[in-house]
Amino acid sequence: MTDPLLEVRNLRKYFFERDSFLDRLLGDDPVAVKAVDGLNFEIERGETLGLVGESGCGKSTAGETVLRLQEATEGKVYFDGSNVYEMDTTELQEFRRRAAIVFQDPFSSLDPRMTIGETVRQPLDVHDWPPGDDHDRSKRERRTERVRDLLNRVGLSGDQFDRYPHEFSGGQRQRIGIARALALNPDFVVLDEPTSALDVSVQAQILNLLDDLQSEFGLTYLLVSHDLSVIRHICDRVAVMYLGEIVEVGPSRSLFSDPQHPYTKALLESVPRVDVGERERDVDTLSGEVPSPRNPPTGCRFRTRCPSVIPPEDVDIEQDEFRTVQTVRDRIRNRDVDLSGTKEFLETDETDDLADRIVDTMLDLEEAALSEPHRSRVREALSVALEDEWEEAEKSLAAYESVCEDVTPALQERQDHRAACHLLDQPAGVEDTVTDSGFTPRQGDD
Amino acid sequence: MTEDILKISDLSTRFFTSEGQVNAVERISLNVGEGEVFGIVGESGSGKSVTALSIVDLVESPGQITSGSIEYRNAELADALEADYPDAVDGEFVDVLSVPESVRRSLRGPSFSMIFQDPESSFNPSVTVGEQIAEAVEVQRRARADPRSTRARTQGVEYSLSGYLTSALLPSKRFVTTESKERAIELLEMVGIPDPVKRAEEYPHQYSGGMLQRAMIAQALAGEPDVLIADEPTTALDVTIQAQVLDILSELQREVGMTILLITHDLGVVARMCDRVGVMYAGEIVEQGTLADIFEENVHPYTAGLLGSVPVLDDVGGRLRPIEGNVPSLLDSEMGGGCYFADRCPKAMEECLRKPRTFDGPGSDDHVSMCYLADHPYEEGEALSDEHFESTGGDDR
Amino acid sequence: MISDRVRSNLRQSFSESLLPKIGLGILVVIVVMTLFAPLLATHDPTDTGHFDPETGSEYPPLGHSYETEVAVDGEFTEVTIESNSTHVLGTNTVGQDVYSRLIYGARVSVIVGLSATLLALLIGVPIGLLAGYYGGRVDDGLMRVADTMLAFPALVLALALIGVFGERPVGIPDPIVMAGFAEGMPATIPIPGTVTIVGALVIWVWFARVARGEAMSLRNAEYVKAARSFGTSHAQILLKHILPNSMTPIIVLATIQVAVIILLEASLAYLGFSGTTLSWGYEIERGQDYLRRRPWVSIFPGIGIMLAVISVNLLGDWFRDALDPNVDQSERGA
Repeated sequence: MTDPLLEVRNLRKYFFERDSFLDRLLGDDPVAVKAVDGLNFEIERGETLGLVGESGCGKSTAGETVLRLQEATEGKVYFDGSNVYEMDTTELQEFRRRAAIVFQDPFSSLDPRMTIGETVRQPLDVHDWPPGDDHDRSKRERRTERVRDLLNRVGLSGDQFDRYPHEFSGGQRQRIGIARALALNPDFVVLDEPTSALDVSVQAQILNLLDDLQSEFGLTYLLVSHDLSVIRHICDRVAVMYLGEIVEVGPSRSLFSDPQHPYTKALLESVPRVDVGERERDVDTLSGEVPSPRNPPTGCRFRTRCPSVIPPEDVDIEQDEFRTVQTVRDRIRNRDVDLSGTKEFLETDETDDLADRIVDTMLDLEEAALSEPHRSRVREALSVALEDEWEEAEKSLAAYESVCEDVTPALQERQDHRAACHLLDQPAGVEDTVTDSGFTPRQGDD
Repeated sequence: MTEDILKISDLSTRFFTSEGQVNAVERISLNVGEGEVFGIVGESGSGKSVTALSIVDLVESPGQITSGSIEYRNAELADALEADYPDAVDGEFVDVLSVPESVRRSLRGPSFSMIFQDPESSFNPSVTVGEQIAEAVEVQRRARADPRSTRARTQGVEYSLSGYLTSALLPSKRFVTTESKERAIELLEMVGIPDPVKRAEEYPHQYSGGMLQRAMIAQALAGEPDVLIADEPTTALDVTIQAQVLDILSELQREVGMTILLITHDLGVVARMCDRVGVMYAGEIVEQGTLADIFEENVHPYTAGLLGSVPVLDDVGGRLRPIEGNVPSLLDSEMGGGCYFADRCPKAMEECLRKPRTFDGPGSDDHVSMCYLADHPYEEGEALSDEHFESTGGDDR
Repeated sequence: MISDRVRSNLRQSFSESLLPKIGLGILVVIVVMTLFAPLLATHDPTDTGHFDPETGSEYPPLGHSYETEVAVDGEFTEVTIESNSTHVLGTNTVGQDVYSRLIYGARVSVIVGLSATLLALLIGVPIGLLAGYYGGRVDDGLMRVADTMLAFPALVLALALIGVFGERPVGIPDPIVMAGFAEGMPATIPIPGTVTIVGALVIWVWFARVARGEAMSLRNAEYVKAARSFGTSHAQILLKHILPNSMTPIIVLATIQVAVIILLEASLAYLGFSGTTLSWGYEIERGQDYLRRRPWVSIFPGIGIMLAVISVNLLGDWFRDALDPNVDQSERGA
């Protein structure tokens, strides 16, 4: 097997908020938004890797960081063996020639004040294409000819050279963007949601075009998308991202037919099928929303929404009850039990009674019953919390601490299809990678 | 089959712009049964959103409903209006296009309620979500509780100057009572917002997109509407959140028996939610029927093309079969006299240059299609020659 | 740089509304006055002593007369001063022709307004674009300076700067007079140089701020990222993408700033800090003590300032409506 075209090792990209002059003056510490947090993957030559996840999972940032459109906070990206972040100017320019990108928004990806001919010719101008001297014809002529060829190749007429982007429809603009990306004969193209802004019939045209171009020019794609059907349709391998991390990666076929990670399973289940039987299909919807990347959960980042969090071995508890307890624990840890509000709502003053009723209300909202002894423990913790003894309350539920919140799961050490979940066999030494980031999940999202 | 609650016939909505007349909705007819989910599916520019706006009378200038009727079944309302507007009333049905604007306006809330794609622009950022929902509850309650309720319904609620000033100076306060607030919290709970007591006190920016979409549904439910019109309600949401919101809508439909008119471009959402479906293209409903009619017995090549364009999760590989060309302009001057889809249609025939009427489809009794293929099969010999096609750019063979 | 769409928007909003027509009409008159001042003026504007020969009083505008007391042989008598047909708008307190000074005053206002704005553009736009595009410390530094400048009222800042630099009029030779087409007119016109520079220093901050905002949003535009993806240098991106696409709001701002400068120049001239007496503001000051008896001395330059400012503002509104990239006139209301 030859070396992969692209190898990403431990890639991190943090954005810092509260980092302006004024904030430094006031002594505020910058807050890191961990958009991409330790990615490892590789892309073989001629292959299409899909990077899929919900909005805010860092997939687009990953795509741009790989191309060094944004500087990485940490990590290495090897393109054809050399690290993109250590390239000198000449090497970087050559990398820029060989790696291109197609963006999502067909409206903002073209300069409104440039004709489409100028837009597509731009990369040729920057790289002084064609290399060498051809005395027969001027470079200008050859560039114009190349632009016409490219426009024809992506299904536009070369005569539309002198027209401005606003004269074209979304699908046509996306074709122009593709022509620009192909201008310098790249080896590698990042496709950042290339069809998300398009209608389905136009999306299908573009997907087919991308497919044709790949086989014609031997391109390697990194497809960033939130649309599982699109990913499924054109990717050879898929990496599923959640909150800046890859939770599962594997060949498209096995990942879609036999997903390992609970998140991947839930994601696949959520997609409505275009099928008459769709109404009868049972979907276990994932509860809650993606926590903030400013302060991701400790251990497994998916645990706050996971339908199968692992209870401690010595606690005998049903899964949905366990989730309820976890929610209460998270909220106590966040001091996020709104006592006065609830007091007002329930119109009672007696603390003792109140704890009971809060438990009732909470359980009611979670649509889960708690059996004994868990119910009394939770009730106990809440009444302690009512006395403002938050730390005490936290401690009283410490017995429910799950491996999922203590230990960050790692991708399994297997050949192709790997997932990062404690339910699956974990590589040795994963216990050492405990992170301690003082997790506070988004309030009340569960 | 349940009784119809909404009968739309020959509805046309046009926009009179400086570029010319735009036929956004072109003589569409559809019936929505009580308690069912009717889906309108189409691509951008097909006129599906304008159809929704036409029903709730929110078409804004230079747009105008130019013809047709929208008949809405409500015995109580029909009784009340019979004396004043005998022409508009037909049995239990009221043609909402033939009654004055004030009456139409009073239907928004208790009869029709609408939710939009972008919840952020539907909430006032400076008022808490709870108060805004409570306000909607109170407005609807007053409209109902008014002893001259019919009058209030037919002539709109009157506001005194001082009332106007109070509400202008203290927006929403006037309408927020303890009861309406409690109802708002109930509604928030109903749409699955955790910790509704606390969330009701928060402002829209503290909500995530999915939460705000739920809050908008809660607000739309304040008037206990007969028909909920949902315009791309999940398009801006992630797929796991979309599943949650669709669940809530299904639940409402099952438990409250609410009628839902769902407008979407996503065939998966249609499959998950709808009993019956209308497919829109260039302002027309080109095919209409039950979900099975549309998915399995479709005759219109556009319906087939739309279904063939969607990459499917369970079925790998194979090329997509896109529809060639682009969605047409709806400018009246640029629209031909024939079938609007003919220039992109793989099965266009000579007779497609004449406008097809609505034919019965091969599926259920409800199945209709505006395509000659519903009448007789395709014959190669009659294929429309290429010179009839304008260059459509961007086609991909 | 101006696309077809912008041109058609300009044309359409021009034809739809009366205000741009008024603005453009007045502006054309003012520009003609500026360009052909020596030909339009009836007298040398600096020539003093045009008084009623018998009483030594100022002439009123054509068709008017006024009564004044003159000392004849130690006794005050009331006489009526009639207008003089060569002094259309009368003469001022030192006997200069008001009409000719009105024409020449336009010259000073327009030249100062345009050159100060141009100077401010040259200072502010590059600074703003660089700050916005690169962000970080460059941005922090430049924008703190800008904020500091904004904290001072423009007039106070201008007075302080004039205090430092002094009033330095710059004599600009008049090509029409030099070519011999206008005998007897001044061969050079004094332009208040310090005021021009001070004006630019007062308003460049606005250009910097607008340019910065534009650059900040444009640097994340996908076409800019695309340009970087194939290796376009930062300088090229700034020149080819960022600058042309930020021009619209800058042009609108520039139009309005011309009016600001005209007012600033008039204010400084009124206070006597302009360095030239040939200015509308100075004329107002000169006439203000006699406002009741000889109002024409102040009124005509006052009208000149008002019209100039209004016309420039109307034009600014027109540009803003037409150039707003979010409003395509042809799609309005669709």
